[in-house]
Amino acid sequence: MKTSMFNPFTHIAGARALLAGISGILLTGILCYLSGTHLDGVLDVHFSSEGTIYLFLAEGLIDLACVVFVLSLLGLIIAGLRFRFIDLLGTLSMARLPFLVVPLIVMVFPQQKVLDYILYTYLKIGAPVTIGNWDIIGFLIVTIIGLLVIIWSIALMYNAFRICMNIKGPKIVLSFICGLILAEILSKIIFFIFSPTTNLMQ
Amino acid sequence: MSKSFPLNCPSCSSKLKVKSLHCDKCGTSVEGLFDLPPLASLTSDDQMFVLHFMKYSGSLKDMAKHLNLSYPTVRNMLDEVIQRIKKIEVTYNQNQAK
Repeated sequence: MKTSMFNPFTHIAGARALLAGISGILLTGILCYLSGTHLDGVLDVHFSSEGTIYLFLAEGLIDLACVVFVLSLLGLIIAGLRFRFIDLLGTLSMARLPFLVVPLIVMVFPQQKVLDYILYTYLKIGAPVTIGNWDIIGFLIVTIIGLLVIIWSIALMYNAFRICMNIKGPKIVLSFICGLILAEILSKIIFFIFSPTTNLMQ
Repeated sequence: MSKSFPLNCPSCSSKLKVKSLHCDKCGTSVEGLFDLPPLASLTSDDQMFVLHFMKYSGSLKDMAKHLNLSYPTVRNMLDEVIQRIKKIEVTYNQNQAK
């Protein structure tokens, strides 16, 4: 159970993983559009209904492209041409599947009211909003689940990278940490350039 | 009950050698001191892996499908077996040179 949750890549990789991963990313995009959840960064979850469905669909794909681009380059440096690109692409796309949980939880606990409250209270934007205990509990549940989803996704990405490169020891850990930070920075730059309005909303 | 082939000494963990061979059919016994060939020095799991590798004509893709494992997992297993064979070969060649 633990292995299949955190490392399903001993059994699935390549084209099958890519198909499952891309389907999951597109489904997540649709659910994000319906719930007003933006995945505007490799490790980001924000709430705003701004943007068309194409933006929501593109966000997941851009996140994936950033991780794959950076980790492929690092893979070439540390492992040379020993890995198959389709395995890295497939496993990393599957590693984004946990994000499917976030918009589903946001549908149960909508965050717009809390967001409006925070915007008015701390930035004096919009109209005054009062929130109840349930809104705060919902906000906490979404925050905790969001964090767990990010940790789960990082564990999956690490295992995907480790299995595809077949390198052990501190070298793989350090290169993964550097790669993830670089991918996050790259994704934030891309979203800032192509979707500045959405970024300002958060 | 199938007995597993011992590779290391249970007392000091050194590599075991073959001292005696016996023909079941005619009862002839040969005594001496023989090194195990490199492939026989692999663990039974590694030997099974090599057998599968041969049976599937070296196709890791087919092996992965048959073993219900992903391609990179099988390729990583192969890399590990290769590393172990290289180590065994070094020891074997050193023993042969003595």
